[in-house]
Amino acid sequence: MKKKWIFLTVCLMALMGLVGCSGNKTQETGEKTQAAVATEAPVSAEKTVRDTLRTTQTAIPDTCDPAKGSGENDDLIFVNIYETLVYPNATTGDAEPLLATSWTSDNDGLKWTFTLRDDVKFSDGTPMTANDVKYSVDRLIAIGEGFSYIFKDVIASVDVVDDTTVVFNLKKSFGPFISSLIKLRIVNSTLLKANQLDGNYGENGDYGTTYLLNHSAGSGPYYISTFNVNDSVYLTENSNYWGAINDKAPKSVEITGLLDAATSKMLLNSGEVDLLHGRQVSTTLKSLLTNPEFATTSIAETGMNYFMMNTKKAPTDDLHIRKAISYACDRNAMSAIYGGMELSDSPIPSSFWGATDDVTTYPYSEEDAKKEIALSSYANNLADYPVEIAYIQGNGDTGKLAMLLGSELEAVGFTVKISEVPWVLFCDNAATVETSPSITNANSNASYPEAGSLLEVKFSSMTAGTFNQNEWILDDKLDAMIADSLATVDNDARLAKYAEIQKYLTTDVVPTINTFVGAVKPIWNTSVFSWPAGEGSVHVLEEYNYYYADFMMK
Amino acid sequence: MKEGLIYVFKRFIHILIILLVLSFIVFSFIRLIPGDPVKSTLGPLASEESVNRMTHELYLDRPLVVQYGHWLKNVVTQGDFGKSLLTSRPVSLDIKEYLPRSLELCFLSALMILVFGVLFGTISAVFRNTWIDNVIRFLTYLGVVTPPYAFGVLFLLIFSYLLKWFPIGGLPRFSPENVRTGMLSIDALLMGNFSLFIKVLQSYFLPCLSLAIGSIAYQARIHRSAMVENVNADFIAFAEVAGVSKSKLIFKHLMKPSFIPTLTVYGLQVASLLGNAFIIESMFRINGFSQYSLNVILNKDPYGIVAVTFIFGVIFAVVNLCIDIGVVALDPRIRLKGAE
Repeated sequence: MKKKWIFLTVCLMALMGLVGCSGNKTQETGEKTQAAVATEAPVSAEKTVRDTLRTTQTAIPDTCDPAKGSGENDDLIFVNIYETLVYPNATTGDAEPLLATSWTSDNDGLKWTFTLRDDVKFSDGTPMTANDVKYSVDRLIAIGEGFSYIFKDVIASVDVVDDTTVVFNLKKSFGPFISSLIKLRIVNSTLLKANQLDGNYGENGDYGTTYLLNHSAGSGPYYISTFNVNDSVYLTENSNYWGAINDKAPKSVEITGLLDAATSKMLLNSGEVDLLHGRQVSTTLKSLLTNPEFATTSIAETGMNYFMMNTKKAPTDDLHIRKAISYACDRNAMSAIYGGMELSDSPIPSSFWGATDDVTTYPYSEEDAKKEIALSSYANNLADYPVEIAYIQGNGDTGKLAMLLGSELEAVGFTVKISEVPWVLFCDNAATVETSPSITNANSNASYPEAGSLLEVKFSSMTAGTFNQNEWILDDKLDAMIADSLATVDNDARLAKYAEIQKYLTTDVVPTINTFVGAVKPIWNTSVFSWPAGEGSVHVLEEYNYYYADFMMK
Repeated sequence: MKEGLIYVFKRFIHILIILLVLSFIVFSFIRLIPGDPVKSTLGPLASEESVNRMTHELYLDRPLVVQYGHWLKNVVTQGDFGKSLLTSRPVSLDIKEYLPRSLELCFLSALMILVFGVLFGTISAVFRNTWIDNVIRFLTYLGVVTPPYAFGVLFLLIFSYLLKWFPIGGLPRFSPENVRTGMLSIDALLMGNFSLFIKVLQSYFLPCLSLAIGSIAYQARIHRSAMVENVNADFIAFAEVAGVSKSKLIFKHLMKPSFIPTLTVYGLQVASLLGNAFIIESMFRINGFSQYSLNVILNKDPYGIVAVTFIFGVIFAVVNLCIDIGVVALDPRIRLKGAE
């Protein structure tokens, strides 16, 4: 008996050894592994390799429910499976018709009437109607997560007039209402109602949230065919798509969550992945670009990288100290760390509608920094107030930015402590003034391409106590200015108000160093596909560059 | 036989008590971690209403003892570990999905540790103080001091990227109806698809080897020491005098007593494999339980953390119980002492 077991064990080990030595026929047969192409997948079993695009993201979200997700990784998937009433123009970000063909409003902007297309079908073939629009709005606001914060205090109700006409009644004037609709994704109410379970939302049960944990319910050019939570997502072309998809677009897209740099490099080099996400560290990018078949491009994000100074904690509670830190920061050197990034004097990226070029930030000057320190209330005891600079662990090269700023501050007399902090702790620390570090480094992004969105999520009191605002500005005047600008329906007047806020922030408050405009640098195999962003037509909104229906497989 | 059963029963009761205490301690300690896990999950801009709703839904607004009682009742009666904030699903579903893959990884690694660890230890002991012994000792020393991820990168680079003998991480994907046990090699066999079974083993080979290699080295050193120690024992001298053949002397008289320390250390190593596998899982793109455990901890997912700790506790306890039973079978003195 014992011998039998020993024999079996040795056989199994030998088998594993043999398996290894037999060689990997993966590439020859076209059979792929989990993150590459599926061997047994119902989706791609019949596809040829060139029909399938294989790409990576920094992570795969826990659900692709448009009422829940609001991060970059959610958006990159959302734009392919859900559609919105309006579409942002590629260069200006202005709203253009998509599911809505036209819209009108009353004079004070409290009532908006949309006419919808009558030829739109969801991926299961169900026609889209005004009921779906109403259901999507009600659902988003009831669930209260994701982008609901934009609409919950704005939309009072939605009325269905007929199948192609829907009326939005607003609680208050909201200038960027049309721009913000790019975050209102329309879901298939028939499908979700048919799959709803018991839940917290009365007669709507769970609002289909359980169903959307691994399915999609949209009208976009792709739908989710397989969803492996926190691992991979498989999109398949929507045969019921109402619009045009170019002939060479991938029939299926396999998106894998992948952070490990060494594995990413090997997968791209070996041809098992075609496109790597844009948050590789500079050394990975540099080494991959030695291959002439690989290319990269810079895609601006809807926000900036900021050093956020805590205005309620010594010594950064002193305006002169904040100005001194701003002068001591060499933004050109920081941009160079990232391979050359766009700088902006305003706290809003210059490509944004509403960004002003009428402000000047503090140029790098050790001398001026020292002068400001001398003017501050900490001039004689600065060493007693060490400055802590915290950055997020694993967030690309931001650690290098923190270290550079640290050395620059030490050069002008500050005592500096630099901390690398895990994401959850970073958020926890931001929750109170006492635990918020003197300075943090993080990216903040707008929800829709207008200055007002970034001003609100970055500088209004609404986000104090979150990672978006380590500054703890809590300035009633600023809050009133932001609220007033957002309530202004007239575009020119709103633009002027945005400019005033940016001036006020830059000269009177100085809460933040605008390090540079955030950008991602994806890297891809040019022999496999081409895409508009790679050809120089970069969409103003990052996620729309990953609209796979525009990709051309080779 | 009876003594052995009493011993096992006693150990089983000990394990139950330990698991109960462990779960309560972890449950309590999670509450001490600063910050609100619900707010972290829903994001800074989630409405107060949705934060309160989820807090209530997860029982996090009740006193600690009530929360623990509710949790324990659900675990015992329904096998329900609560809802994960990381995946928005019941934790038990996550465990069902992730655990089999990691158990498969660890089982195959454990097999490698046992076979190669004992093999190299025995060879080293039999040829002690020769060049063979010196080479094995040098290599095992190297294996012990080198972290698994270093082997992982090296193996990926050489055997996957350059030689293309193995895939660059990842596991073959199964359509949902073919996933029965969640252990891919077994599922492939149940499908009757032998080529897929081979492919699964091929995908597991490098991660298993990377995970096991340090333990193989350690195991080999322990086994060698135990054998060398027993070589000088009286019963070996008697066996030699009695004219027992060399092979019988090694494999019967020397191997069995030398196995006791080997088995004890083996148990600890096998039990810790699951906890140490997260880097290997990440590197080889195996979406397994270790990586899940790390993610729930980093995301401060309360029910996820309690569940993974509980599962780790169960695995640690069961593996050690098995080892203890093995040791009892090998050494009657322990059996008799345990039954007292």
